[in-house]
This record gives sequence, C-alpha cells and structure tokens, in this order.
Amino acid sequence: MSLALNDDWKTPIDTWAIGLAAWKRFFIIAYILLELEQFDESSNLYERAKQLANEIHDELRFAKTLHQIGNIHYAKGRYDEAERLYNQSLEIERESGDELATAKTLCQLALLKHDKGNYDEAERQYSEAKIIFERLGDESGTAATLHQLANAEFRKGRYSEAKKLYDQSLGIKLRLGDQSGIATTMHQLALIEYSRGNCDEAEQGYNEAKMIFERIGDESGLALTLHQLGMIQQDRGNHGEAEKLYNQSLEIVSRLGEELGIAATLHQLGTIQYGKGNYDEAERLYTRSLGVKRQLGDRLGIAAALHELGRIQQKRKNYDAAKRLYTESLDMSRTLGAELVIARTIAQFGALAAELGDLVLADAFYGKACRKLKELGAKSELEQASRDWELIRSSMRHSSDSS
Amino acid sequence: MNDAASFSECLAQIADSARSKALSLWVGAGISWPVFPLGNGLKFYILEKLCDNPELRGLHERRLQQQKDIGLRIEEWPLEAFVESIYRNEASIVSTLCKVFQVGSPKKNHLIIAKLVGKGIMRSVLTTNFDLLIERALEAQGWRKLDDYLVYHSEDQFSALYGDALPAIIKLHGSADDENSIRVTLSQVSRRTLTESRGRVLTRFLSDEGDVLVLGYSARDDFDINPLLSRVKPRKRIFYVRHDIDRREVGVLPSAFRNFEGCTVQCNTDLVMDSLAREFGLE
Repeated sequence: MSLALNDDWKTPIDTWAIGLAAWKRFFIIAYILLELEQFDESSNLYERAKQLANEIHDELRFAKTLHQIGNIHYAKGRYDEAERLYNQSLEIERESGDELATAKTLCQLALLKHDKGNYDEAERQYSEAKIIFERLGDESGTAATLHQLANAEFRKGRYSEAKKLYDQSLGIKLRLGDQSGIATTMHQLALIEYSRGNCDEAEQGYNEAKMIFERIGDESGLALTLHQLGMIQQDRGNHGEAEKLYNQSLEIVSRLGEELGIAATLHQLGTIQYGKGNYDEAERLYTRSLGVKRQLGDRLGIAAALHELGRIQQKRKNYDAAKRLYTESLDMSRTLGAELVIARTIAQFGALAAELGDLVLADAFYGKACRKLKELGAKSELEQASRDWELIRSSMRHSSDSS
Repeated sequence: MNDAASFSECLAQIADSARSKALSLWVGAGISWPVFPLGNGLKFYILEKLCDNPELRGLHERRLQQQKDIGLRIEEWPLEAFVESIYRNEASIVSTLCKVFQVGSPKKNHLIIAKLVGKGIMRSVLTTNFDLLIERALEAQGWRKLDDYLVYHSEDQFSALYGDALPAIIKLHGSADDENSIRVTLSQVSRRTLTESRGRVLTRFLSDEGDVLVLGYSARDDFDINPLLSRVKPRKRIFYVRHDIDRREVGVLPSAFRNFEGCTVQCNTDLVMDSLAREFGLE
C-alpha cells in the first residue's frame, strides 16, 4: 500500500469555498475578526458585506449585517450609533417575521439600554426576547436572556433572585457547552459572592471564569476577571498585587479600545491611590474615569466616580464641595435604583456629619446605611459601616456620660 | 518511573507491556500527519479559501496568514473555536470537514497499529481523530468491522456497555463516516451530555490496570478530555511520546496526565513504532 502524501483533503474545502457567495465570505471573515476583537478590520468588512446585501436586495442579510456593525459600535462604546443600527435592523426583522433575528436584536438593544441606565426598558426587551426564544425552543437565547434578567435582579440588590436566574442560565449553558456563556455567568455568580463579602468563594469563581476566558482567547472577559481579582486583592490589603492586576486589565482594555473597561479600571486605580493618601493622583484618575463615563452615558459609573471625588474633597476638608458631590451621586443612584451605591453614599454622609461634629445626624445616616447594607447582604461593607457607626455611638455615649 | 530511566529502558518497558498484552494505544492527529494537516494547517487553509476573493486577498496576505499579526492570534485559537465561528454563520462547514477526513490512505504507522491489533497484541485503540485510516489499515490486513473488530464513535455507543470480545477502536470525537458523530465545534466538544458520555468511555479505558502508549496527541483538549483526565482515578501507566526528531530523552508527563504514573518519551514517533514492529516481527 502506498503512502498518500497528497492534497486530497483539500478538495472538499475547495468545493465548499467555491459555493460561498461574496456576502457570506465577507460576513464570516468579519465575524472571525470580531471574535478576535479586531474591530476596525471587522467593521470595514461588515460595511462591504452591507453593500453586497444591498446590491442583491437581500433585506434579511442587510439587517443581519447592520446588527453586527451595531455590535462593533457597542463594543467601542458608541452607544447612540449602535442603537440606531439595532433599531434599523429590528424594524426589518419584525417586518419580515424573522422571529429569531428579532429576539437577538432585542437582546442587544436591551444590553445597550441597560448600560445607559434605562433598566426598565432593558428588562422589558429581555422579557420579550425570552418569550420568543422559549417559543422557538432556542435554548442558547433563553440562557442568554436569563443571564441578563439575573443582571437586572443583581443591580437591584436582589442577590438570591439573581443567583437563581444565573444558576438556571448556567445549567443550560453547561448543557450546550457554551464556553463563553459559562465563563460570563460564572463571573457573575462570583460577583454575587463578592458583593456578599464571600471573597474566597468569589476568588475561586473568578479564577474558574478566567481559565475559560484564557482558553477560548476571550481577552475582554479576561480583562474583566483580572479587574475583579484586583478588587479582591485590594480588599485584602494587598495593594501591590491589586495594582498589578488592574494594570494588566487596563493594558488589555486599552488595546481593545473598550471604554467602559478603561473607565472602571481607572476608577479602581484611583481607589488605590486614595488608599495610599495620594489624593491628587486619585483625583486625576477618578476625573479621567468620570470623563469616559460621561461620554458613554454610564450613569451608575458616574454616580460612583462622583462619590469618590466627594471623599477626596472631604479629606481636603472642602466640606461644601464634598456635600455637593455626594448629593449629585446620591440623586443619580436613586434614579437608577442602585441600592448599593445609595447605601455607600448615605454612609459617607454619616462620616461627613461626624467630621462636622453633628453626631446625631451621623448616627441617623449610619443607621440607615447599615440597614440598607444588611438588606443587600453586602457583608464586608456592612462590617466597615457598622464599625464606623459604633464609633459614633460610643462617642455619643461618652459625651452624654460627660455631660 | 523515576527520572533516571533511560530512553532505551523506556522502549523496553513499552515492548514488555505489549508482550504481556497490557498495552493500549491512544493516538492523536500527529499520527495521521501528513495525510491530514494538524490544527493550524487546517485553519489556515480554510481561511485562505474563504479569502479567495479579489477584495479579501490583500487583507489575507497582509494580516491573516500564519506569522502575520492577526494570523498569530488565529494560531493560538483552538481549532474548535475557529470552526465554531464559521459554523455559526455557515453550518455546512461541519459536513465539509467530515468529507475532508473521509479521504486518505493509511501510513506506515497505521499499518503497524493494525498489525498489533490483528495479532492480538493490543486490544484497544483510543483516538481523537475523525479519519478512517486505522480502519482502512485493518481492512487492508483482511480484518472486517463488526466481525473482527468494533468501532465506537458516537455518544450512544459510548453509553452502551462495551465488553472486550473483539478489539475496539474508540473514536472519542466521532468518525468521519458518520457526520452526526463528529465533534468539531467548541460547543459540540464541550456540551455536558456529550462530555459525560465520553467521560464514561475514557474512564473505562483508563480504569483497568495496564499501560497506555500515547502517540501524536497534543494533550490540549482543554474542553472535554483534560478536565476528565484530572478527575479520573488513574490506574494505567502512561508512556507519552512527544515527537521530536532531534532528541531521545525521557521526562515527566505533560500536565494533562499529571495524575498518572509514567513518563514522556521525547523522540521521533516512528522510532517507537519501528521498535514495536521489530519486536513482534511486523516489518
């Protein structure tokens, strides 16, 4: 028997490729490039695919391409442009009765609304998409919407509800072998543990998610887990390690041009500088982060940055400026129903009142903040606020004893 | 085996194990090269053909080829993830890949494997390859599927009990002659139910006493096999052959097999197969 050292294996691929229309070729290569986070090249190819779909009057392909271009704008933080394209795509998909495409575009629109802080609208669109996915028996879509609805519960501070939905989503994703989805949901489950103050469990979850992100080459996911692992190190007081992890994350998100990630990591680097007492450097980082968040319309992020800038003013004893920044932050958090940020800012008002010598008011603020943190199950933050509150109460007892 | 075990001692142990009929075989893509390309060869050929368009050719040459900037990223990408990204937009890629692995004639090493199985020296061969080269080599020896040997290639078959009445070829990722069985996309490979079924057959394969000679296998199946290897209770000793034409060394097992006893034999794979062929007069 002779050895077959020839190119026979190539023939089926040659035949397959010959049968691919130009639109499909551009679309697939653009998709691969998008998966590899090569946004500019991917965008160019999708634009060409859009022209080709238009030339052959194929509305569904046109809509599908618009959706993908929308994804690129979304990834780059250009939300208005992304929203315009998603809406255009959705209109065509609804008109042509392509339910699956409609549900997918609804999900993207909801994601975008969520990022813009329009949570009710986002939840409505996810729910509509979930109904369609379930009707079509599309498990992958159902898992994705369950994950997003869990995010909505998480944001409201309803961790048990969120965990239930994440677990359902994870169950489907594990069954389907959706690695990227598995990692993303594991990351969120770890975030719940972190928010409950269970740092060891959170770290384990983040590390598992990180391993998958690394394995599948998802740099964006990797940056996210590095960031979160940095937060755990920071909470443990390992500031050097935290800074290293944040910088690794920042390097990736900067390379990918992911504005939201850049803003979040600059913020965390700001908290490290704040912890070191380098208030000018912290202010510079928070201000940079705030600028990006304002551009993106990330209202939750803006509220958090204003809160931190308020703390710097408080440290500098610029109490009026601090109060103004806290108030602005609190107003924004309240509009968004962001309970954790609200609780943090109320606690900060307590600290400010105490510093200004108004222990009664400080006591009231801390009491309110602690009750809220307890409700949210935010263990570590509750411990910190309770310690501060106890100091206030002890001072109050002391002053009442003295008088 | 301790670190000081010499290369020739290691080959002798493999031969001893085969002689006492305690040796099973585990083969990967390397054994079918160059009849079929390895993962990167396949990825870059598909990419080249996808870019066979006047407007895409320039981008391909500038950035997508091997060693170019995006090409380097693609090299690192698992084959299953690459295929998945095409499959999501053009499902026919899976049947095309099935056809790719239906062609080809067996090489010398496939023929040696067939003879080892035919002579009853080896009772089972586990492979992650889709191709049909071992079966063709067995047929060339006059062995008939179902009469003289069995092929297990689908999750249903993996779930069924498997006795050792006949020599078995276990194709963990499916077989090119049954398109429904092949697991070539990321989601197919890591789907939980499929993973469990593969897990059972792999556990059975590794749970008896004896040795496994691993050839042409990269041990980079991070989504299904490696997690199982880390969980399985190891009883078999592993001889992992890392192909290297310039070396003859013995070292520690790769991390995927860290729970097992055994060693890595770094040498030309043909040398191990030739030594077995000589030992049993199969030349």
